[in-house]
Amino acid sequence: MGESTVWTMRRTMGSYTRPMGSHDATMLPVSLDPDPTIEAYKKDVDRTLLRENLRLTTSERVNKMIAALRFADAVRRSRPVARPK
Amino acid sequence: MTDFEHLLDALTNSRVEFIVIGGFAATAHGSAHVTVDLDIVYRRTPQNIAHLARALQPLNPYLRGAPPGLPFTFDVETIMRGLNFTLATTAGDLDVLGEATGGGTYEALLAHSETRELFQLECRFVDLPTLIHLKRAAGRPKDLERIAELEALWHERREAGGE
Repeated sequence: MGESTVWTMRRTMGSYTRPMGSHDATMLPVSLDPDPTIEAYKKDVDRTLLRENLRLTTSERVNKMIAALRFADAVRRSRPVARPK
Repeated sequence: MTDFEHLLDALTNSRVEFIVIGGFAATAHGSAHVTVDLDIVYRRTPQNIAHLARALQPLNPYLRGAPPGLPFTFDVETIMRGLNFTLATTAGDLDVLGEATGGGTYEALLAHSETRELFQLECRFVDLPTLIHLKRAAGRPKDLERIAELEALWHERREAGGE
């Protein structure tokens, strides 16, 4: 990779740089009004799962999510077992 | 699979000032969705950038999705020149953000964050209303279902008398 490519990368990254010391302590305004699409999705949210999670500690919630991830990972790696003929 | 404990341990032990946002923060608040990466907003001070570079150096951070062989080193100079980095590390995927969409710098989010104990570490997470704000600000169609869940979660939490 040539020097010019490195320079281009640095220049590109630099264009996103917020100067040091210019810490903006405000957040951009965002409408939090009910959105019809979000409201439509909300009808299908399984609230029993949420209530169950709210009874857990942060560690329990995270461990539950990691267990689900591990299970999904195991399923993804699974291979069909050859059936006896 | 991302080793969340390893990533948080590396950041915390190197005294990086950061706030967890995104799907992992949603999980901490009670979301039933799973997430495959860790998103953090870091404080952009020279000292914290040095801590961040040192924390991640053993995890061989590399730009996620970039072709192998690019001259990329996640060091102080790179972090100073950049802002947001989507990284692949040996402990899994990590998004390191100087600013989240919606104006979410570390300083802006700090007042809207809370400390939670996790993996025997004390980690700072963005609070639920602000997480909803950030998701809405991002305006991504894929987030709409998540926002619906987070808003329902917020409603359920208030009904239950908060945490």
